[in-house]
Amino acid sequence: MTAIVSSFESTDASSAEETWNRYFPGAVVGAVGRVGYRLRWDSVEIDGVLLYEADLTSAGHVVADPSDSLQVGHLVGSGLRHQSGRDRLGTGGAVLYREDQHVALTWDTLRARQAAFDRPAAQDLARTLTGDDLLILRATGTEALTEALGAHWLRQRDHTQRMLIAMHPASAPILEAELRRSLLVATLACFPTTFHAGVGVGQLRAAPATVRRALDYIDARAADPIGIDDIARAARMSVRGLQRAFQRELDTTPLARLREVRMRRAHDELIRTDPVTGDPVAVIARRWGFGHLSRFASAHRAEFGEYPHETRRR
Amino acid sequence: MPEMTRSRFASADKDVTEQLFRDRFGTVEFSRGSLAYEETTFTDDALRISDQRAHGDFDCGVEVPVFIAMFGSRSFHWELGSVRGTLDEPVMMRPGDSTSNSGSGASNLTVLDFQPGVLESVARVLYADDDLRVAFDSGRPVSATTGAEWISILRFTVAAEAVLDNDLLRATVFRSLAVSTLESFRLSGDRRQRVQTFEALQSAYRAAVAFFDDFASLPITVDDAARAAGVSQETLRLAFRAHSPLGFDPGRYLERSRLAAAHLDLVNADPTRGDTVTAIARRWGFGHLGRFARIYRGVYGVTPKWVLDR
Repeated sequence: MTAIVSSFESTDASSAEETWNRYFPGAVVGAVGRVGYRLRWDSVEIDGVLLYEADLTSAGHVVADPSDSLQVGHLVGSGLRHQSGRDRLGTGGAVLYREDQHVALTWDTLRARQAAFDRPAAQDLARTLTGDDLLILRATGTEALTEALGAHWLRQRDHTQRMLIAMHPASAPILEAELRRSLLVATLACFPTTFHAGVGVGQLRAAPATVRRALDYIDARAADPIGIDDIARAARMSVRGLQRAFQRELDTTPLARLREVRMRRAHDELIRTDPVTGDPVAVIARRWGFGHLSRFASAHRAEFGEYPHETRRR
Repeated sequence: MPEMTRSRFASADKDVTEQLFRDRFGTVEFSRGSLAYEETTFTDDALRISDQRAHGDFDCGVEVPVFIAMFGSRSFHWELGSVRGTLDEPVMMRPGDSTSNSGSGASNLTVLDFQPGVLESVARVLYADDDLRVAFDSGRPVSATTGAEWISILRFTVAAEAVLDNDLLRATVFRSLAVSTLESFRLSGDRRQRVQTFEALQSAYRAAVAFFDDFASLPITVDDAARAAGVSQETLRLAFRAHSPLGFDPGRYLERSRLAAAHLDLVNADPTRGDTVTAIARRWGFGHLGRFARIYRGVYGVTPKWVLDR
């Protein structure tokens, strides 16, 4: 398992989306300033762990879905606005992204120092360290547990990236594996996740496979006219059982979750498509199962703080 | 988890400092000059890191009792037999070595001493060799590059001072130091062979874990997993010891996967539909109900019956 190192500088604004998408499939990049665009990128990737530093000198906007990986990052810059769902994230310290909320980021200039861990790798380690084989690793907050732990994590991130790059391409698999493992442990130790929930009766609360199957199905089929029966069938459960499981595990219902996913997709589409040549808001709303335009508009405002046509104009 | 102690020491009296080193290393002899000395030390049951500052001119002989690796300023001179050097390059001293050190003016050094047996037990797990005896061919790093790697990890650890009270983080950074010491200095034996072994065991571990997780409900054995991973049972045992974070052996891992599956079934079961603990236990290969209940309770803290009836 050797590290993959990538380091480049680009002044070609049209490649911005491609760059982000290489590392974050599905990231929506909007309005990256073409004047004075310069991206300096350094990254190293090893066995499900990606560490990168990105320096951007022109304004931009990104919406990304962090659910594929456990991501922690530290951002500085000017004109920075950093949101996870509707929560405004602080700047200054490193933050953990909640996997159930989209991350939206706008900036004038930006310097990001991030780490992204494949969820199964992080979860396996959390499971073996706690001895809880059913632990579902989820963020339970965004900020480090203490300021000292946040500072330590950032130092460890930088140290790990620097060493992995310095060691490249000489083969030092044992030390590389050790560095990777240490950073993973530090991430679990420093940020609030279900890793800290403890073992014992508490783990009965870990989302069982049925709920995960249902969530996967909702994510995969949100665009189709699916109903509660289909979700229950996919989860191999009764409708009532599934509703109870959702209430217990996620404090929501399957249909509320479906609606939430559809709302987010509709919102992404509003951001991504051109207000002039793209489909009208009403068509996008209908595509995602919202028949009443006015109800869609007020729900959208409740969720994202602005009306659909405002999102579109940005 | 073992406790960590941090202590500070400062003295302008050379005899007091000499006593500190005698308590730590046994035979220590300061012979010349005057010395003002201070240090900050972190100790747990694996190793001791001390950040030392000395001011003065001194000669000091030590009979080394444990593995000691150190790094510091050029003004600190060491001598091991016929080999001599200054501390601006890392050096490793081994149990049984006699060393003469001297310093003049201001010297800074960071000294790492491993409690007896620690390097050996880390090495045995890391390189999957129960008979491995830790011996170094010399006190020098393998190369300037590995020396620089070791220094980076040492510096990082010292800078992590504020979080060393966190048991998990301390165990992790201390382990990295031990691994880096084994990898950076000239450990006797065939280095390439060790790397190959490490990689082979890592892939055997992954293959076996995938096999156990996929087929936990079938009457599989550790032998089947070893065959699926293409290694012997003994090799698989070593692979688990090296790569399972909890050091589970393969049998224990298989039992855990079965227990986890049974747990999921219990959580989702409905006694009114006729689900019973016995049936679920049997489905996952636990023939003896009392034993299943005992293991289950040990891991999940409650009885299977309680979960079923909940």
